[in-house]
Amino acid sequence: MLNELTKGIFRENPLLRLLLGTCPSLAVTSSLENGFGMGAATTFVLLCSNAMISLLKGIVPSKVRIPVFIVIIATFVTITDLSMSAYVPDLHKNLGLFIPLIVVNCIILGRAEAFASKNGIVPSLLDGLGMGIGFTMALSLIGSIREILGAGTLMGASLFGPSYQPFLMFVLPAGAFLTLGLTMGVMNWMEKRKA
Amino acid sequence: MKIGAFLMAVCALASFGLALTNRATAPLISEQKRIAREMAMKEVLPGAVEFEDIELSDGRLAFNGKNSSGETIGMATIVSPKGYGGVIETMVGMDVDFKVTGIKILNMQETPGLGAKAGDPAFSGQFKGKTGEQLYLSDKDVKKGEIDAITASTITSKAVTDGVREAVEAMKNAE
Amino acid sequence: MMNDIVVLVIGAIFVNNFVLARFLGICPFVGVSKRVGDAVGMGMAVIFVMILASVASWLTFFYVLTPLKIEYMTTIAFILIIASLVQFVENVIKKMAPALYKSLGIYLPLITTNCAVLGIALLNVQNGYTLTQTVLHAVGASVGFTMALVLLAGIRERLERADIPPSLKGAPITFITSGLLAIAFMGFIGMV
Repeated sequence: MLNELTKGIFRENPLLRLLLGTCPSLAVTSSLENGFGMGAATTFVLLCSNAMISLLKGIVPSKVRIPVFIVIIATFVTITDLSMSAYVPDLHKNLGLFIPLIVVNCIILGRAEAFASKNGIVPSLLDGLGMGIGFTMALSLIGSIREILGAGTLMGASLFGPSYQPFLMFVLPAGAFLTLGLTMGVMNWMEKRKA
Repeated sequence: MKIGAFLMAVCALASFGLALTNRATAPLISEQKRIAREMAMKEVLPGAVEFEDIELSDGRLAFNGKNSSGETIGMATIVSPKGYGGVIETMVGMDVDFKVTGIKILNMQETPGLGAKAGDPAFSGQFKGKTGEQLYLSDKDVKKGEIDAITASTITSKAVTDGVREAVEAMKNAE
Repeated sequence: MMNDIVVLVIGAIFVNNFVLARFLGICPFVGVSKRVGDAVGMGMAVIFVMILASVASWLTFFYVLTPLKIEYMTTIAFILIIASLVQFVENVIKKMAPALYKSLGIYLPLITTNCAVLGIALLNVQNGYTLTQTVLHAVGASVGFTMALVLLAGIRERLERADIPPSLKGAPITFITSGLLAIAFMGFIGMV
């Protein structure tokens, strides 16, 4: 049981190992706050959709399962979108277009198809939670790196004082790609050393 | 046709759930918008404490700003010129002498580090005190104005400048 | 007027390149860029789907969702439109170009989850584009996507023969290369 929860954090980290959810991980990781916020929103949707799809296991005709999953996921994404707009408008503004884009985040459809549609509700919830936490951690890591190097701040608080000249590139697209690539490379290297 | 019926049932449930959520959140969302707008109005019309909705001759919505003694000190309106990455929603304030009192960019999707600098005081502050004829770019426009464009962001600079000018013209004609 | 069209299209292809600047369409970008041939095929499919999807979703937004005041159904409506279109395109390709169908394999249905397609549908209505602007935007965006995809595929084919440290092989080097491509594209910024 515990395995379902922890596998999503390191061994099968959806972003860094399974290469899922790459679009938001580049677009909204210009700061730790945005990265974490996106991770949290995605985790919420993932939990809800895994739970719902697991509950409907056996009831959904196989031929229409993908459209049905999509509608369910899109519903939870819209709920998240509206709620964030109402309760955390600044974060909602920062994440912008990528909140509705959670619906095409391959992690959610992927877990629904590969796991939630075939397992009970508790394992599905744990799977969703683990994957969500892993994703959030990865996003937060990249967000921190990009914010520290690209703006000299962390959570908005200046780290190096006003005279620090940040590597502006890290908060720009090129820096996002580089940070993600290097982070993945480091994770691969760490995996190899363990073996 | 059981499959079709199932899909329709799911969609119906989804719509119902969303309609409920929408009813719960819509008032909060419009309240947020109203607060943000009022803060922007206070920023572009310093000294104004009360605002009155008025309709301009072209149908646009504007806001008359009154100070604590009840006198009208200026007007503000929102323009949405098309910039580089989308519309640049801007609040423009003007005093009774038709001079710009300030601008505030509410929403934009311009390139970070370039067009996005339009929000910085170095650019947006230039508009304070300018009148209609001065609201053109200083070297990229045929009619030489007094607004310096952001380096390598002519489109964004021009869009904002044109928008501010448009706002001033519209508000002038309302008087 | 002509100037606006040029700025819109050129902007979408180079400066606001959907992949390298807007970060949309990364999954297929990384997944289908191993061979130039696949990249071109995928690119063509994306261009076709994006234009159709943009038009269909724009029409739905302005003639169905807005009058009924159910804009909150936008995400669901758009993704269903896209899923149906992709299914349709898949059937067409299967009949008309079976070889292409085989080589695109799993990537074709994956266009549904390509954030670039849903992304552009949402951007079109967010920016308040007219129908013409929507089509131009879709053309520019999808051409830009295809261009970035083919460029990356060309580079990756060469990288196959290069000596890359084992930790960086595969995804890491692809992203690093994309980063360098993104830097190159930054050079277009002052263009418009």
